[in-house]
Parts: sequence; structure tokens; C-alpha cells
Amino acid sequence: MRVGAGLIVMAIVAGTFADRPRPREEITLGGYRVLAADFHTHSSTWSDGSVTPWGMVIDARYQGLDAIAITGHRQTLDAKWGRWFSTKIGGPIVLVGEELPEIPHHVVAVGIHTTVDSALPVREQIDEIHRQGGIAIAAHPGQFFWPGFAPVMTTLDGTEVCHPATFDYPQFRPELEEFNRRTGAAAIGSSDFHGPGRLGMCRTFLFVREVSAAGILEAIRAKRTVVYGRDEQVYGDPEMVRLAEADGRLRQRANTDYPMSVLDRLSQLLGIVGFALLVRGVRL
Amino acid sequence: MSIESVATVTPAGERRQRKAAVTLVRRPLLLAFVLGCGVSLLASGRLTLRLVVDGTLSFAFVPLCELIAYAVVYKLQRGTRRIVGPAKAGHYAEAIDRYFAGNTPWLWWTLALMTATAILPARRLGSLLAPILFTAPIPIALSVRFDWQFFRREGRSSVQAVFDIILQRAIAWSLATAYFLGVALTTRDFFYTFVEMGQEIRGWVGTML
Repeated sequence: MRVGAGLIVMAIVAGTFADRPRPREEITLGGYRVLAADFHTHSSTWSDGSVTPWGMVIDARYQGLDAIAITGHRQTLDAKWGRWFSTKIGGPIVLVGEELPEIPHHVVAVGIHTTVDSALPVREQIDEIHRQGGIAIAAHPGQFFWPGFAPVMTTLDGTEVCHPATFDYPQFRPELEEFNRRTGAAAIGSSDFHGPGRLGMCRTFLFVREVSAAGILEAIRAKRTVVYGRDEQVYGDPEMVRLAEADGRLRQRANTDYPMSVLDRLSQLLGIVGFALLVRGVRL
Repeated sequence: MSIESVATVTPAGERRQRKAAVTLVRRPLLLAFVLGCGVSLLASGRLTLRLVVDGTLSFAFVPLCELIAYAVVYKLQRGTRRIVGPAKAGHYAEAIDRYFAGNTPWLWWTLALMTATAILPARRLGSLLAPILFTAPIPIALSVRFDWQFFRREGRSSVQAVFDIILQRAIAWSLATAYFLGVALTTRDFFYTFVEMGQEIRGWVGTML
């Protein structure tokens, strides 16, 4: 057991040394500041996530995100905690949000102040979100959800066109693309982060006039977003896409499949072997 | 009147209390720590201190719910429990320690999950959901078996041991689910989650076959 414990300590040391924030640079294109954001995330504070709100704020920095929305299921408390913590450490921008997970429509509300009653009809949910100054995003709007969104096709502010499920289920991508085409809403990329994967695995690039929560919401309402999806597909405002493609840096920043270093592999190997020895030493 | 019943606690008594405290928390802490390391690997691909600590805090509710549930079961066992060992004062801590050893199937299962996360690229980790759901019954069944053996060794009859297992899990799983899912439990989508899980498993099994 001691050998196992020692290997685990070494694994954590190696992993911590390897754990570096992704390099970030301020990008300005076409007179706009470009921010990277993830608008659909879940914390471990009674929202079936795996990382605490403050842990997610720190992880957002490591993942090169300028803004996240913490969108707990039917609650905003964890988002408010995350926002408070973020103000103490100087960023990233945390927007208060929630996911209203009713069948047959999941709506992500971003930039709200209090929870929205998810038992309301979807049209009234969107109205309440807008009344609070927030924006409404259709979460993973696959074909199953289309009937649920029928009453609000023209009032949604954004729809997710990149979602991690598109990497596991290729047939899902055309459904998200078609829904976005039908609504004409802003293209949004979100990780729907619960723990597995990476925060910001799918992300939205926003072309903002002002680096603030208000500036982010304004950019979404104006549809000044760019999203990179599976198979290097790009979505968003045509002019912003043109600027992004001509520059090339956003495409690089969208990729979270960065190679694992030697220290990463060492951390994995030592950790797995260490735990195998440790668990084996547990007597029944 | 024994010497140790005097108001001042003797050094030997202090040592016993410290030992009991360590015995009480070591396996619950191990469980939380293993889960925290699992979170770190899932979310970053490495064991990094910030995520190990954060994940341990995030999933501390799992051993905590187990402790609460077992405390209820332990209390109800009064009169039928066999006292093991000379130090009755430390029996509860020792009982917790032995009881938590029954989590070993879950530790092995979590280790298998960690190994899978080290192999798969980050973008494909979602594909682990179906195998997770499909294989979870294995540690569930094994831990039930270990717990039954444990309660029988504690002096409980077969029927009492079954009652203890059902009661412990009813309390622990209810508390853990209520905490983990929170207000989402009250939505229609919560019940549809089970439909989605079934679809996920069917799809994965179909792919494998």
C-alpha cells in the first residue's frame, strides 16, 4: 500500500507540473475584441457536475476561456458563487444562468438574475428570460426536441450547433445545423460540461464591442459569433467567419485535442498503477 | 471505579481516541480521494492537484451519505450486534472501517474507468456513458454480497442482514441522489433520464454485437 501511495503522490506531482494554462492572447478582428466562451456548464453543487463552481472558474482559465456561463439545472446559486469567486481572482467573466430541462425542450438561460420557472410553457420561459435581460439558447436541439421549440423558433437568441454529442453521434450534427438554419439564431458552441471531457470543448467565439457580460450578451443578440465544430466545420455570422478564417488563430484556439505530454502520460501511468496497488492492499 | 473513569483522560485513552478517529475516517476519505482522482483524469487527462482536491470535495457527499445511512443501520442493530474486539468504545469506528471495505468493487470499477479515460481522446469520453451504465451493476452486486457477509459476521441473521442492506441503500442512495441532482429531480426530464439511459445502453450493445 505504501508503494501505491507513493506512486500516486508522484503521479499528482507530475500531473500538476504538466498542468499549465493554455496560452492566451488578446485577439482583435474587424474592430471587435474576440472572446472565447462556454455557455452551458454544470457544477457539482447539486447540478450533477463533477467540479465545484470555483473549480470551474479556475479550469476556465486553464482552458483558455474568457467567459463561462454556469447553468445549473433549475437553479442559479452555483453560478452566483462562481461569479463571486471570479470577481475575487480577476476573471474570467462568469454569467449567471440555468438550464431549464423540461421535456421536450431544454433551454439554457444566460445572463439572468433569478431562476425561471421551468414549468412555464416555453414561450413564457423565453419571455421571462428576456424580461430579465438574458438570452435564451436552445440546448442540444436534436430532432427529438424540435416539436418542443416550435412556438419559439423566432424568439430564441442562440442554438447549439456544436455539442460534444456530435463527436460520438455523427448523425446529430446535421440535426443541430438544420435547427440553427430554421431559427436563424446565433450559432453557439457549448460543452455541456458535467466532468468528462474538457470545459470549452465546444466553444463560442464572440465578437464584442465591450469586454463584459453585457458586451457578451449584446454580441449574441447581434449574432456576432463563430463556432468551430466537428470535421473543421465553421458556423456563424458570415462576416465574422470571414474575419476568423482569414486570421486563423480562432481555429487553433478552438481545438482542445492538444497532445498529451510525457509528464501527462507519466501522471496517468503512475496514478493507475499506484491505485491498483493501493486498492489491492485494502483488506476485506 | 477504574482509573480511567477519573475526569482526566490518560495518555492511553487519548491514543485510543486518536486511533479510533483515524480508523473512522480513513476508508471514507480514501473513497472520496479515489473519486476526486477520477474527476481529475476525466476533466484534464492527468492527476493535477487543483482538480484532485476539487473532485474530492465535490464527491465527498458519497461517503458522507454512506456514513449517515450506516449510522442509522448501526443504531437499529442494537441488541443483535456482536461486539468484536476488546475496545467497545472504538467499535463503531472499527465497524465503519470494516463496512467501507465493501466499497472495494467500486474502487476497482473506478480504476477501470480511469484507465479508459487515459486511453480515449477527450472528445470521445462521452462514449463511456453506455459502458458505465452497462457495467455498474457489477460493483453494485458485489458490494451487496460483501455487505451481506459483513452484517452476518456482525451477528445479524440472514433476514436481518437483507433488511440492513436495503435500509442502508435506501437512505444512502436517496440522500446522494437528492444532493447530486438537486432541483432537477422535480422536472419531467428527470424521469425521461431513465428512458435515455436505456436507449444509450441498447445502442451501445447493438454496436458491440
